[in-house]
Amino acid sequence: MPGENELRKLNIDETIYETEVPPSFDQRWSPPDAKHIKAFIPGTVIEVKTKVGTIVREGDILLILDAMKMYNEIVAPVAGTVEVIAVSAGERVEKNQLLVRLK
Amino acid sequence: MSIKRRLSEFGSKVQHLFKGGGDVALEKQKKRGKLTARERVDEILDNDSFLETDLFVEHSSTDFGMDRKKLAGDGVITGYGKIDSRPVAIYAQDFTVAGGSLGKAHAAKIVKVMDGAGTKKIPLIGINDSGGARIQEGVDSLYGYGEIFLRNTTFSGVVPQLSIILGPCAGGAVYSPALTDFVFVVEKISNMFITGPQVIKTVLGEDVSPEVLGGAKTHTTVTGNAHFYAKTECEAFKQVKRLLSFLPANCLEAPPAAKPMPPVKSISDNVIPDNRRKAYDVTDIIKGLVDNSDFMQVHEHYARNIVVGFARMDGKPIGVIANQPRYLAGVLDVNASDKAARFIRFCDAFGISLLTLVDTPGYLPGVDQEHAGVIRHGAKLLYSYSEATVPKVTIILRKAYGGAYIAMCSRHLGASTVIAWPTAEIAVMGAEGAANIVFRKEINASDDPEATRQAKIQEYEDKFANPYVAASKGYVDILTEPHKTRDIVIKAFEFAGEQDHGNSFRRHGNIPL
Repeated sequence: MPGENELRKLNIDETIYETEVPPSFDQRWSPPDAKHIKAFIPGTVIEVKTKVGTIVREGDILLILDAMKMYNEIVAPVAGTVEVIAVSAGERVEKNQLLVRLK
Repeated sequence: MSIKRRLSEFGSKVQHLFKGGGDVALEKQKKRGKLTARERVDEILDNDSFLETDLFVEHSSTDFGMDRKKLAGDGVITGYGKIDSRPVAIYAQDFTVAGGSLGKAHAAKIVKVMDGAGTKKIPLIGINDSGGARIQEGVDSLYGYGEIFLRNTTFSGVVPQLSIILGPCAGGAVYSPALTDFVFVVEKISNMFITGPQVIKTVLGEDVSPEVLGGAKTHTTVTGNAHFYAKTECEAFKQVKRLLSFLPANCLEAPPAAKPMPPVKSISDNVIPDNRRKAYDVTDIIKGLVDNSDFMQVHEHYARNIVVGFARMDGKPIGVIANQPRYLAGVLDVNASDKAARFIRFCDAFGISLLTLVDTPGYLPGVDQEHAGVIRHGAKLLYSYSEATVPKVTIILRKAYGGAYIAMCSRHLGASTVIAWPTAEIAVMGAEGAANIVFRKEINASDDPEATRQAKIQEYEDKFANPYVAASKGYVDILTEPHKTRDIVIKAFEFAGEQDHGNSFRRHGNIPL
């Protein structure tokens, strides 16, 4: 089972405590970028429904991703212009792989 | 037929049924490093105490050639026995018989022994080792699971229910253990998941071993689905026996008292480090307070910033909840709140008094915690303490700041007695944070802001970082030194008595889940 870790400094309300911390402690949260549209699930790209340079509105369908026996519509979470299409039809994608980038 | 033939026929039937899935299957089970279902029952129960029921039960399914298949005991051993001379109801799934798969008759046997536990008001012990639903029986096996889940729930808080996972326990089957009070897992033997590695690989392309996905370590360190980790099956059985020694057979019975014993090592008055930012191991303090220094941790490896477990004081079982300064400075967070809340509710359900040791700087800051719902999860701790009617004694060892002070069984949430040590700091927050807020103007206007800040921190600390302000308002009942604490706690429990919230007309409250 987990052994004794080294003591680290932990700031709670500006008091610094010396204590053990979990391994996940250094993985700090960073804000997601809505313009980087990533696969929320691994699957296969069935059809790309947009082109580079296309101006899209929020909710426009960008591509169809086959996963969990479902055709999932991947839509633009925000309005923008399609800058990069990182995948093509038939391609297998991993979870969190970049699909489309908007500008 | 002569009597002699009848008896010999009976004898050979029993002998056959005792072999479960047969010699080859039993050998295979042993090769996996597992005991057989029958060995497990023998190992956990007192010698010769097992009274087996339903050995001759057979399934009645006919589809897919099942009419030609005889399954010994329908893949589960059920009955009653004794552990340390106290009765329990028990079932053990037999993996050697059709993979321990659960069909209607298999479930009916379990249901019968569960009902037995409910009416006799004795603990239920389930040993899970099953491939899951018996597909050939279709919806009948789902019906079986549902009947078990229903009883797990209706007997929850009536009799203690323990699940020992000694093999696979996958899909819907995991929800029976999940509904019980305590789950025991064994290294390299236990596997629990809703969706197994195979399906995850096929559907998602994620490659994960059964051990990493839902093995003993995973469930005792990452998910918190299991409470006790053991290296071997026999170690797990010892844990079961030790746990039961603290528990009453049902919610109407008083928890089993033992001969009062002093702690092996008592607490010295300088147990708390001089530097209030320094960590120490709170289990040393617990062991210095309780009988024979015997403390059995629950969820030892999960959410280690809070420690919970069973012990005795003056011979009577108690549940201990303590912030652990050694880990994450003893902060409250999502997992610690869940862990403590569930433990508190178990103790309250079975009349086990609560001893709370407080040394926490507050809640863990961070986006992850907020997004994980620390508001909702943290609320469970407040709810559980407020709801509990058993005697509740709280000792404030050192830091008791802000919301965390309230949450850790303060007078305000209905503690029977609140004790504090001279090292206690009961305040709205730590001196550094408070000084920066209260004296912001002075600090900013100063020629030497840092010197002013330090002076103001000292000023705040001198005035508020102690137990006397809270004690002057009656929020703390008793101030005492560490070495006198054990005797005071014993007296406090003695005088506490059951509380009555006067709301017995209500159906039930609505704990935030």
